[in-house]
Amino acid sequence: MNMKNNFKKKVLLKALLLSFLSVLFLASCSNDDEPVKDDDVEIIDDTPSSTSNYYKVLRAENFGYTLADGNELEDKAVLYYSLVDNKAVGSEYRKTSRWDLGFSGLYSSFLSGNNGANTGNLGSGNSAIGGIYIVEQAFDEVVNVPNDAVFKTGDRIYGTDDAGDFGGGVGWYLYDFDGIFVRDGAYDNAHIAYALGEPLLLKSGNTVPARTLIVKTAKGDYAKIKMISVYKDILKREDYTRKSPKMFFTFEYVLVPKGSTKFEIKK
Amino acid sequence: MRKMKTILSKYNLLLVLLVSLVITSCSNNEDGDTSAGLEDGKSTVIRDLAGDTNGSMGEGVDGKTKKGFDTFLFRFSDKKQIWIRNAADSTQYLKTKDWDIAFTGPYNSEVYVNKGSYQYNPGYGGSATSAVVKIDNPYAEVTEAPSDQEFSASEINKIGWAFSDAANGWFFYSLDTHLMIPIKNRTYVIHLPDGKYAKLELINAYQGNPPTVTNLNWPAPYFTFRYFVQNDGSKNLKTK
Repeated sequence: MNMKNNFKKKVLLKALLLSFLSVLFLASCSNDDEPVKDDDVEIIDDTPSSTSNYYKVLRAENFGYTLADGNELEDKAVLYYSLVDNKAVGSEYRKTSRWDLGFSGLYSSFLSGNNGANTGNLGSGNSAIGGIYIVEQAFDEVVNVPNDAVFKTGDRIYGTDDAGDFGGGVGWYLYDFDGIFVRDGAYDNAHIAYALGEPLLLKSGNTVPARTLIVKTAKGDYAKIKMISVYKDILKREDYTRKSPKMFFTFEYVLVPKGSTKFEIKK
Repeated sequence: MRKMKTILSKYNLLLVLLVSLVITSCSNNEDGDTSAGLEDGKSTVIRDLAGDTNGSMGEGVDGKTKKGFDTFLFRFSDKKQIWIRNAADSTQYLKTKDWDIAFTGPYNSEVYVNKGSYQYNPGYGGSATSAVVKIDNPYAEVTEAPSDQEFSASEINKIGWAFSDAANGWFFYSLDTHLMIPIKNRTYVIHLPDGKYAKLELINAYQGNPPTVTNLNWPAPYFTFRYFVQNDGSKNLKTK
């Protein structure tokens, strides 16, 4: 009897160990960088594109979330925005063409368009035909819609600018790690992200020219975007501090329909 | 009893199988010591070249004497490391063609080729017109430099932190561990200031070129990299 019980116990133990190990095995190879796959949830994309948002200056305010204290390098959150509808889109719509602008990577600050054909894109496999591009020109000066060939279709395309720390080429914001590019290096002035919708004067005397993002939307419309701030309700650069609540994207943009050659404002 | 035993042994077998799976499934394609096998008889291998080990990011880092990191330049032909510590150094070296790559930024981890036309290049304003192309292939398999059109079309200005797979950098940065993770099988082909073609593999910034680093305080930056310059001016970059 005892023997039998012992065996039963052993079998149970092994089974437990087995399931534990399987979990381990399954978990050990998951890649943290991989976004959560929710492809099984099929969302039928039947929303017609809004047409009321063309040819006028639209504004997104405080789009984002609070980064937890002490966890400022968290990059798990990916945000989706519909420029066509001027509203946030939930991540369950990732595989649809309902969103036009993706925010991913460090601080959710690396931007991309929605493109189903690029396997690296957040929307990989969907029917979206979008992309993103950046120019070193002020928003108002960007008049022409660029050639379709310039749009980049991958993930995390534009973020930090080479004029600041951890630059990734031409970017839409300058990251001032030590607070010395833009200010005096005091404690409160470190770790600040300056959106480059307007030119930015540096301590060195140089000015970083304004940058404008140009997005081809999921369905082929075009938008030019001026990034204004990443801080909640704080839009003036002089008011940013290292403790200001982030990441809350505020930006302005103009949307024109598919086939347009100019960013016209008619309303 | 017999039945029990059979079940048990089946479980045992499964267990062994699973355990070995767990152990092997996540190993990378690193064949043992990463330092071994760098030499190919043609390339120059640089090991543990010290960067600015006194530099630091941010405030109050123990044992570090200063904020920021001094840039250094490197010349392939004679393996010369040139420090830019002050204005005199800058004047003497930056705008010349006497260097091939520069190690700049945090932990000297951001590498530039010598290109006078780019504003944030250390050689900005100089006459050097280097260009670099990234090739996602193992170093030994990169046997020819790309066309000059590819070099002039290249948008790579800085080789540093890769914020995505598609980015041009040479390492990922783990947000969980705050450690640099060099990208394997990525080779940079450079059109040097003197017109020659070269290939470069940036291998590690941690001392001793360990296969993996788990300790945030592992000594850095100490660079391990290898390169090959084709001195006959051709695009032949074969090293094996």
